[in-house]
Amino acid sequence: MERSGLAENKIATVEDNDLKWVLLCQKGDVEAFGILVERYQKKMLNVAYRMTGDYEESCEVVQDAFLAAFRTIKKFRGEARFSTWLYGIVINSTKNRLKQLKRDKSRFWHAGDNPGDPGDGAIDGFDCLAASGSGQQESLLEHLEKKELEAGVQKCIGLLESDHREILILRDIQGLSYDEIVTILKIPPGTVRSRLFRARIALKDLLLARIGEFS
Amino acid sequence: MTCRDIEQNLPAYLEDLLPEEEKDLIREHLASCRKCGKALEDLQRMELLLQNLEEVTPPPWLKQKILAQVKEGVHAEKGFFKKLFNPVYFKIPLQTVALLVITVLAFYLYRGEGPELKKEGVDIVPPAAILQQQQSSEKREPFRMAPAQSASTQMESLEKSDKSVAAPSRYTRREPAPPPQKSPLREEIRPESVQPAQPADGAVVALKKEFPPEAEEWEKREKRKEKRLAGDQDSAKPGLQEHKIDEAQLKAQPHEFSVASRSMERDVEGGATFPLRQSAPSTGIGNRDSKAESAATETAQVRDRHKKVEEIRILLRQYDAQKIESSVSGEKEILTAILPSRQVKTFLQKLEARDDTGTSVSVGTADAKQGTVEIRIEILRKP
Repeated sequence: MERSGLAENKIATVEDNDLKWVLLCQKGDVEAFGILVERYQKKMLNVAYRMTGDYEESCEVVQDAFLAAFRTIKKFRGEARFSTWLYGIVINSTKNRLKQLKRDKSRFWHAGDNPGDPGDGAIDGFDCLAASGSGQQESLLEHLEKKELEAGVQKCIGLLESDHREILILRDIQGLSYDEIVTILKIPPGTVRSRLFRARIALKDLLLARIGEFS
Repeated sequence: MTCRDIEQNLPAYLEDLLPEEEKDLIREHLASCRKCGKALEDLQRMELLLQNLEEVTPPPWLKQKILAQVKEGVHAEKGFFKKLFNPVYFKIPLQTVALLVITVLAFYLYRGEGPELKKEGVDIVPPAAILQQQQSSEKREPFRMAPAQSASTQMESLEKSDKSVAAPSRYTRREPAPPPQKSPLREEIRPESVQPAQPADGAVVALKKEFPPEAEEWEKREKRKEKRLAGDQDSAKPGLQEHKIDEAQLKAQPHEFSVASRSMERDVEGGATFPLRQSAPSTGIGNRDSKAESAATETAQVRDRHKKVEEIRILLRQYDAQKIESSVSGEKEILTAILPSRQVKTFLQKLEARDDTGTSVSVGTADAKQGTVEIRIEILRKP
C-alpha cells in the first residue's frame, strides 16, 4: 500500500497538472491563479475546517493561505506538487490562526475543554455540506444521525493534540501519501508513521469515550 | 506481548508495515483476544468513518474574494511604482525639496560674500552719515543728510542757498542758537553734539573724491525731480526734498564703497604708504590687514597724515580761510574753517585734485550776510 503510494507520488510529481498554471501565476497571471483556486479551494477549506472546527475561520484561513501562495509562488520550484506545497501553506496558516485565537480567547480546541455546543461554527460548516453528500434518498432521521455522528467525530478530532490532528487529517481524511506528508510537515517518514499511529489510537479512544459504539 | 502492545501495533499491522514475525504474533493474539480484535475493528471502522466524512463546501464568494484580494495586491505592488513617480507622492515633494535646497544654498552663498570680502581686506561699516541720520531721527528733529554729489553740483546748491535764507548749520550746539551774524561753527564739534539743522537746499553736503558717472547721472535725475517738486511746494516744505536727498545719498553709497575699494586697490598696488583701512567715514571702507603692517610703516603713515593736515591748513590759508581749527574726534582729525563763499568752489577743486584718500570734506551752511561758508575736513587718524 505504501509502496504503491510512493510510486503514485513519483508519477504525480512528474506529471503535475498544475505546473503550467503555476508558471503563468509566476508571471503574474491572476486568471491562472483563479483556476488553481477553483481546483483546490475545497480541499484546502476542508483541511482548515478539520483543523479549526469553525467554518468561518476556515474560510478566512483559506483566503490568507491563497494570498500567501500567490505572493510566494515565484519561490515554488516544482520540487513537489503544487497541491503539496499549497497544503503546507494552509497547514501553517491554520496553525498560526489557532495560536492567535488561543492568545485572544480560548474558544477552540483545548484538551479537557468542551469543544463547543452544537450552535458553534462547526455546525455552520456542516450546514454548507455538499448537496450531493446528503442524498435525497436518505431519510431525514438518517441524515440527522449522520450529522450528529460527524459532529461528534469533529469534536474528537479537535480534542487531539495539534501534531496528531494535522497528521491524521492529512493522511486519513485527505488521503495524502507519506511522502507528501513528509514534505508538508518537514519531519522524517518514521516520525510521520509513529505519530500517525498514535493519533489513530488516541482518536479511537476518544470516539469510544464520547460517542460509544460508532459504525 | 500484552494487549496494550498489540493495540499499539495495530495501526501498523493494518498498513502491513510490520515484519512477518510480528504480524504472526498479532494474528495469533487477535484470534484468542476478543478485546484486541474489537480494537482492530474499531480502527477499521474509524478509518472508514474518517474517509467518508462529509466535506464542507466552500462558499461561492470565496474564490471571488481571494481573486479580488490577489488583484488588489497586484495593483498595490504596481501602484507602488506608480506612486513613486506620481506628482503627489514623488514629483511635488522632490520639487519642493530641490527648491528648499537651492534657497538654502543661495542664502549661504549670499551670506558667504561677506567673509570673502573680509578675506580680501575689504570691510564694510555703516557710513557715518547714516549713523548721524539715525541719531537725528532718534531725536525726532529734521535732519539733512549730505547727499553724494559732485563738487560742481554742490556748488550749484551752495549758490542757491546763498540766495535763500540761511539755515542753521548742522554743526550748531544744543545750546540756544547763536545770532545769525555769528558763525554757526563751533570749536568743539563732536558727533554726539551735532544737532540736526533746519532744512535748506544744499546746506550740508558730503563731498566725495570720486563718483562714478552713474552716480552723477542719478544725482542729476534726483535733482531735477527735486526742482520739479520744489516748484510746487517751494522751499517752505523742505522735508520732502531733504528726504529725496537722503535717498540719493543712500543709493549712492554702493558707488562710494566701490570707489573706495578701487582707490584702495590702486594704493596697495602702487605701494602707497596709506593704511589699507583709510576710507572716509562716510564710506566706511577699510582694511583689516592693516594690523599686519610693520611699525615702521605706521610711523610713516602718521608722518604722512601730519603732513597732509599741514598741507590742507596751508591750502585753507591760501583761500583766505578764517578760524582754522583742528580737533580730534575718535579716529578722525577734524579741520574746520570758514571760507569766503566765492573761494569754496576753487578750494574744493583744489582739494579734490590732491587725490587724498581717507579725507572727507563737508561744506556747512552758507552765511549769506557775511558771505562765508564753513568747511569741515575729516582726516582719518588711525588706519
